Amino acid sequence: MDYGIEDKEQETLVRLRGRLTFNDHAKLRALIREMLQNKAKRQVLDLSTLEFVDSAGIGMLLIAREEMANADKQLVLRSAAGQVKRVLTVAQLNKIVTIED
Amino acid sequence: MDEAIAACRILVVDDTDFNRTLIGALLGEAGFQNVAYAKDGFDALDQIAAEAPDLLILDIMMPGMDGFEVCRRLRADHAYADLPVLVQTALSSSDDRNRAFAAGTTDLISKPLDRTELVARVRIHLQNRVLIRDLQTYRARVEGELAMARSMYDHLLPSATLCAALTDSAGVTLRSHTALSSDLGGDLWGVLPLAGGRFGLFLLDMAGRGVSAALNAFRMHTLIHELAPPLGERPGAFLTELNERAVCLLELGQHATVIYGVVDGAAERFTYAAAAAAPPVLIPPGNAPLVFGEGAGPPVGIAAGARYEEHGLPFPPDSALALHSTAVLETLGGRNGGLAALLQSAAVRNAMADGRGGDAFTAVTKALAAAQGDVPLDDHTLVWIGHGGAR
Repeated sequence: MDYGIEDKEQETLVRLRGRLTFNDHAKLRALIREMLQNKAKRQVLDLSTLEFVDSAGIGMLLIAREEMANADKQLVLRSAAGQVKRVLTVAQLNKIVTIED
Repeated sequence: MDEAIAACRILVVDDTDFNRTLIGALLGEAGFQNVAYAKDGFDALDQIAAEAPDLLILDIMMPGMDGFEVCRRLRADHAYADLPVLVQTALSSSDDRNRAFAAGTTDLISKPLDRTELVARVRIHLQNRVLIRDLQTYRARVEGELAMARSMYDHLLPSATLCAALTDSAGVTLRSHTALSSDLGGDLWGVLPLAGGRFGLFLLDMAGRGVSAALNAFRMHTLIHELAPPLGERPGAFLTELNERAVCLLELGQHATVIYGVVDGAAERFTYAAAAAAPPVLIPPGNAPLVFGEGAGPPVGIAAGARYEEHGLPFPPDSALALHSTAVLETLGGRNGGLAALLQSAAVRNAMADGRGGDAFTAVTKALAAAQGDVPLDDHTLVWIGHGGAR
């Protein structure tokens, strides 16, 4: 997995690319630190170019949500597609995290 | 100098008494305590066979068998393939040096000997050797412990005796296929015998991989068996309570997908609840279409207060139920496409129609094994429950 960060007026947009799996633990930790240093309250993860997420990846997204909540920020998962969207739906993650189309 | 390096055995091979004495004195002065000597190639090979050194200092020009030949013979023997060999040489042309390397030399020491160079090269190669040996020891230990953990893991899975007992008491046949990834995953399944010829069946997939996932699977296994007596009959309440306990037990980022259901052969029904699991599939008798159950629900261990609903699937005689981990879907490709196509294939349907449930199961696991390769990237679990005739 890799990512690109774009600062907008109201929110920070992070575009995730590739596969988010167990092996990306360190990388996502680094991303969370970057997101915490950002001023914007809304931290949006754009998942449209993310191809695959496994159960550990879901766990890392939940860690990100918790870290943002602790810092009084909001995490939004946006534009999930394909397998990623199915996994989010099956796990009913919309009850825990804000999910936008 | 590091004690482990100072204690390494060094064999000095030289046909000249003076050279052996000189090299030995230089090494002794530098702190190397374990130096042995050989006076020619044959003597060297004999001594190496008797006690393998950690490093060889080898002269090239020797009567009988020269240094090139000693080197070649050592490299041909697997046991000495990685023994560092330092060749002392006056050979200054690059052709000769290349010839030494082609014979398997690790490094060269120029003649006449320079004290600093000799000690520095010996030390560097011994450091590498000690480092590699430490890593090999550590690796062997980790591999051993993983193997032990894996055998403990296998022990948690239902035994053949238990499956056979269920065949008698519940009128069903249980078959399973598990393939663990090389670093242990978090897949687990099991049965909880209930009254009246029924039994509970769970399939669990812990998030993540490796030792932490396996340890968490062990904890979940304990929880599940604790909850069995009071709640085993009620899948919805079972998962709801399992989630409450797991939330207290698991760290953030660790969670499990679970399906738990009660198999009731007499009532021809499978009643279950699911937490982000792969949906169960009913393969009905005859050529009726597959029936997919419901797998959605919040994973277990994330948030307290989640409630899990009960669902039901029919389970008529001569049908089979297939429960599986999501890795199976990913391996076979597509949402339910790959698995559905496989379950509807002629090999599976014909076997089912003839009451050869075992053959149908074999056809499925064969296709799965072919798709996942020798060592799967993630754990794969497939549990196949045949009802009556579909044994």
